[in-house]
Amino acid sequence: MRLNNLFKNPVLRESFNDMLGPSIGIFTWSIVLNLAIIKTGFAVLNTIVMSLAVYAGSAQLASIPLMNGNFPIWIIFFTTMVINSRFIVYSAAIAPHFKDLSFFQRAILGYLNGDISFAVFTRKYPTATTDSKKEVYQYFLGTATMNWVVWQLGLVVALVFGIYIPNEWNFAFAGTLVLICLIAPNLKTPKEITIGIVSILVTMFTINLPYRLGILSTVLAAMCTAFLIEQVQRKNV
Amino acid sequence: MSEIYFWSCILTLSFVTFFTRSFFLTVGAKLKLSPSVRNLIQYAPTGALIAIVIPELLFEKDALTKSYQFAMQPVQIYSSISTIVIFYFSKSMVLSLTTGMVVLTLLSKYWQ
Repeated sequence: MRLNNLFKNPVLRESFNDMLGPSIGIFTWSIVLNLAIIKTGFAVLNTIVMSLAVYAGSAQLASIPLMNGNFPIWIIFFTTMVINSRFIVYSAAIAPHFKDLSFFQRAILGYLNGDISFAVFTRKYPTATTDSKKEVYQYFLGTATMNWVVWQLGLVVALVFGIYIPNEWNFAFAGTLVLICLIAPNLKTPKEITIGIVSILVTMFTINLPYRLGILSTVLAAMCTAFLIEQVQRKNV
Repeated sequence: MSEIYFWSCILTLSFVTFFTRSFFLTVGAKLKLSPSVRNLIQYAPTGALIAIVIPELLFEKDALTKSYQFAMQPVQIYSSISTIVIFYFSKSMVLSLTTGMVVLTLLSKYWQ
């Protein structure tokens, strides 16, 4: 497809349009997160390589202290696997739309499947539709590509302006604040709040376990709590 | 951090991104996820993110033993609370992050 035709394609234009608002969030998050990474003393070239190849915000943020501390690779593998486990669920949700595509095409779509573009995509296509497959494919590609481009633009801004931000600003804490903004919407119902409290307590008691195994303990505790609450609720109905 | 270590990490992390995001599109295309498992998986990220955030708010790292000691971080806690409150009412991440960082900067400069 030629570039000037790209913006004439109605499906792609619609996908870009739907991503405009969310892009502001992606952009700032990328700037803050990449600044936080640079401020931990991570080399500029390493930060670029990581952003291009890994392309997974919270997993990057979580693995930086592990990498700076020369933790064993299996710990890094395990920690990011757990943090990224939500994407497995996302992939289950979008898979029915794309089952006719080739393996390679599906792999590319999967790799580009970010949090926000996923949310935008599923708002338009909540379940497999009768719409032309080509349109669904183009719409997904449009939102996901925009997510990727805006994310990398945030990295450029962070690299260019990073040196003007003094270290005493404690910019690295902004990364923690981003994570808090991601946790907060998941703690609304009494059930979710209980899961949150259990997670906090388990973290506090397992924090000094070797290799950050406290993260696994907390994940398992969160899932067990959800399971138990559901069992109790089912009995009381 | 050695070169080999860095590139092994990048390779590992790229694999994790690819594997998780495309799981049911590629390797697991033939699998059917039971609804109860899918339901429980959704709580995993909350647990993981809480486990990453809590040490920043409630603990101090002992420089000598490298272990975490319980110690409330009031500046970080107030900054987080202000971020959550603004995020709850405005739904804007930009606004809430700015607020949180301003609170953090002011408190650490004039209060402690």
